[in-house]
Amino acid sequence: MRGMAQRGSELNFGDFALQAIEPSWLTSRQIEAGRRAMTRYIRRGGKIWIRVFPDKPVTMRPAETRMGSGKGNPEFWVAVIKPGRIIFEIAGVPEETAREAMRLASFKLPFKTKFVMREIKET
Amino acid sequence: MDLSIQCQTRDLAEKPKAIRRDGRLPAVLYGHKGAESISLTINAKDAATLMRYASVNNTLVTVEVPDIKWSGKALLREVQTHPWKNIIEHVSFFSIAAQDEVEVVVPLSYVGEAAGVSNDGGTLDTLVNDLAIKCPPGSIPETIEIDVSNLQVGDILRISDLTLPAGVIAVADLEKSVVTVLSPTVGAESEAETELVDLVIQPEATDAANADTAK
Repeated sequence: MRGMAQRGSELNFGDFALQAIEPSWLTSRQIEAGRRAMTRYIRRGGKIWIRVFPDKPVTMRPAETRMGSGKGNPEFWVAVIKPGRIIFEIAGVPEETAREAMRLASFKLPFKTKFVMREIKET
Repeated sequence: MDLSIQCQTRDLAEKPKAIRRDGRLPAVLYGHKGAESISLTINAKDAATLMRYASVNNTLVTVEVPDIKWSGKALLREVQTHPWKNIIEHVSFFSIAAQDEVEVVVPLSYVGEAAGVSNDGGTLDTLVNDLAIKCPPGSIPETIEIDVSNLQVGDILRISDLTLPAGVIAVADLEKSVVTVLSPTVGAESEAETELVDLVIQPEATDAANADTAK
């Protein structure tokens, strides 16, 4: 997989976000596991955005079958993630809570991530 | 705060990557003379310092180009960065000298605690973080303050409800929602967990009932 994220690399909805810094496929199960980790930690309040959607089907051949007789069956769905892509966004919680929620979510993801937040300009 | 940056005209034979290796950044200035534009280079460290104080599409910067003896106020129109390394790659300046009105993006700041949050335990849901406005170049507001203290659960504040400073016109759809207070909800996750707890408790309860009947 080559290149960087050309879109979806900026924080658009929330105040804090988790950004991928490596390329990978992200399965629907991993996205759901990350979302659960975050919502369990936050408990109440706050709002979460999932900025990726697993729209690519991945097929696999059953084990111990001979080659031929067509393509394998779709087994799971993935989102193609390139470095820079925002995965989750969160708003309505303090920074420490958001940071910890994102840290827990990052353990469910198959790539290195970075915590990003909305810029506050110096005056 | 008055911000300024010094630029040099760019030799177009010089490749952008070579310019960046040299500790400079490619930049462009337009709007100063009709549709003309000038290719510039700026010091990368100066640009990084500028970005600590200036916001894109909001802050006026004094741009000085000694090579062509030009100096004037410009809007930081676009800043291109690396997708995740926070490295600036290109800067665009839009001169406001010849403009009567400029379109800028101003951050919204929410003031006060909503009544629906403090009294009823709702969640303040800010749907918009910045607002595109048109105003004279000399009177760009730093932020637009929105008082949310009167908002109850279910109330929606729209762009048409905002009190904008004199001479400022909102560019976006006036019916667009800006902020609302959501009703307090117990998350679906905790409901599922409660159900799970019930399921765990149930067998014990039946065991106890069986024990009672055995006696």
